Amino acid sequence: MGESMDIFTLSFWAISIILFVISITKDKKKTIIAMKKSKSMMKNMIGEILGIIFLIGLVLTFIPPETIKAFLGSSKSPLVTIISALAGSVTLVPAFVAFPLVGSLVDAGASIVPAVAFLTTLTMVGVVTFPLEKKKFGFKFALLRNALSFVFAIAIALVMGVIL
Amino acid sequence: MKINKLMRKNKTLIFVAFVYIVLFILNPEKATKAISNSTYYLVEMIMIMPVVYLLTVVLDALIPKEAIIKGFGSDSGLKGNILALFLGSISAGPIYAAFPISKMLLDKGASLGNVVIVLSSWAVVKLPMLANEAKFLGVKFMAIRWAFTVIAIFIMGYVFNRYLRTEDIPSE
Repeated sequence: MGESMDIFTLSFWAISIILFVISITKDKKKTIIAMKKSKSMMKNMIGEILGIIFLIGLVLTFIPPETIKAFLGSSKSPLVTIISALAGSVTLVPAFVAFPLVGSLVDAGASIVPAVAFLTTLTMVGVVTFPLEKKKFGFKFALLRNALSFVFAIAIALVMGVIL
Repeated sequence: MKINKLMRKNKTLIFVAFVYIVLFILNPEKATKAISNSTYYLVEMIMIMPVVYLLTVVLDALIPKEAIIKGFGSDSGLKGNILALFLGSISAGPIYAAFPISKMLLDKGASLGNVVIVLSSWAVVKLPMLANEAKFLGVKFMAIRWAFTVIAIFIMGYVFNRYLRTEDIPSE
């Protein structure tokens, strides 16, 4: 499933390196202080991020994309939409897997409401990243952001179901 | 003492490691599958985190606090929101990559609303992702979902400015 660096990640690298060179030529001392500060910030996060990564692997093993697909296409009852949104919240399927999966469902005539709910929570709501978000921004921030994103995902799905 | 602190700091990792150990004993096949499922995300992290590190350094050393307050502060208005949306949209990588940069912006005087806009658009609004969505679900589907998501993100920014205080955010 490995993916090589796309053009966007590559330009992201290029811009950061250029900015970094500008920074170090403009103010070496300040940049070095900032490097130390960022290093300790990264060190604080890296363990949690590794935890998240291997947790995603576990979730994908027990809730594989095929299972999600079968469920998403099962019916358009409100309960299916809510469970689809929950599935999107706990899983982190990469975009290049999620869009073809949902696309083939919609082509086969499935309702788009659960599909949109799933796609939207997939990126906006993060249950596995919640502990890290809470650590960085506090419980109130993380809860409010994830809860609002969940509600909006359902709202967007319902509206799109009416429009399309 | 040090081990204690290390364990507290890496609760997720320890929990996950424990689950893996149990799974390896009970069902080694599933455990191997889970490891191989994780590789994609591991590669993604290795490709993106050095950039995030460089960007936080640049943001800290090169951009003065006044500029952040002017661009993203509580008086930056709609212009600040649009700037935040733009910053989040041009970036790459998963949402956790946005945490250090958002935190840095917050420390330098960005409003909570704009920080939540950066975080959300970082996760959702990506050119390669939008192109992929248009390819498999059609341009109309993609454009409508994008428009509604941006509206939702802006409303969230408003709610965050209204109901959350900077004091609610822990300092490093």
